[in-house]
Amino acid sequence: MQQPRGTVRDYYSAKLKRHGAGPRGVDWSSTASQFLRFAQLMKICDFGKPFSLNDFGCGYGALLAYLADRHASAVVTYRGIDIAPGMIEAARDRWKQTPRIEFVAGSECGSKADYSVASGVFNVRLGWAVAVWEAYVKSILSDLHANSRIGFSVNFMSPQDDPASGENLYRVPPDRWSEFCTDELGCEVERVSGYGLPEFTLLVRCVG
Amino acid sequence: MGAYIHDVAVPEVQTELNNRFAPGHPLEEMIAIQKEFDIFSHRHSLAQISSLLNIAPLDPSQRKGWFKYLGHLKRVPSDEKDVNAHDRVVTALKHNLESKNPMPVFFTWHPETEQPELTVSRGNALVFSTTKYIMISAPIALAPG
Repeated sequence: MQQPRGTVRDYYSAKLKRHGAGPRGVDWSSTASQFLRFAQLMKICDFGKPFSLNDFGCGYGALLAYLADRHASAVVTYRGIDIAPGMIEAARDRWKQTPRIEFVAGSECGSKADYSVASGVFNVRLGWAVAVWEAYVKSILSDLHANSRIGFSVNFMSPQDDPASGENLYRVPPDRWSEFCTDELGCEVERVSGYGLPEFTLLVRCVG
Repeated sequence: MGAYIHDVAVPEVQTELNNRFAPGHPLEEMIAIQKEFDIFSHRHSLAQISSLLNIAPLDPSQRKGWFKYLGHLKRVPSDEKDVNAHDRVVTALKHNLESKNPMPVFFTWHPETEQPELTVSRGNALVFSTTKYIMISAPIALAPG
């Protein structure tokens, strides 16, 4: 039986094929809204010194464009991980001239970094039962924690009044995963919301 | 407009514009994008802004035409003296998004023969709604044939 990882890989592979390596190929409406999310996620990082970064669910590597635009002088050793091999190919092709980066196909970080970020990886539930999807979310958060020396950040879609959002999307109040990160992972959590998108970001700092 | 993009692509891009500046979440997103990146400023052309916001026809050849049309607005007059239509749009959106009470924006067209300038006004853009909009209307010449 196929598990969420398999359907996620198939979903994003199909998106890439249909829309190409651009915002719509990873389900974002535009570069600007992607950058708005990255601005929140990257609040976990201290740009005052060099650091290493896992970008889980990196897609075609859009975060690198954000870093080049907003933090051009930052020294970041970047590792992009994506479950869809086509995305990794597109990312390698796009960023082949950039130093200190690598892209790997996979469903786990696979290597420890100072920080890890994951943008939009929990949003599209693809019809999976909530319990199955939450087990998937839990496994990814645990992997991000295990592979982040200082901290990690993730985002989730906020609950909406509109029930028409359907079974395809996963919407959740902040407490659900904020409490998981504090109680189960033993981390400190900062919530970021009200940045113009119907979602919130968790900045998770690993303690000790 | 027909000189730059096909007739059928015009409603597509108009709908996209109006959806992205609609009341509620879309407008909130625009306000946040402006606050974070100062995207509506004279450092960026409308074509660059449109590309960053992905407000353009899906068809690549039509996208090119749309960006050319936005550049063409630099040669179109506006309802403000000595300000071209391109700069008028950028300034109007910047001021609106940075204001205390930003309003949704409605984009439309009018025949160039009736009024050759791009206009910016306030009012009820939708006859079925009491919501006040900033209304931006661009002059359009009829395409030949």
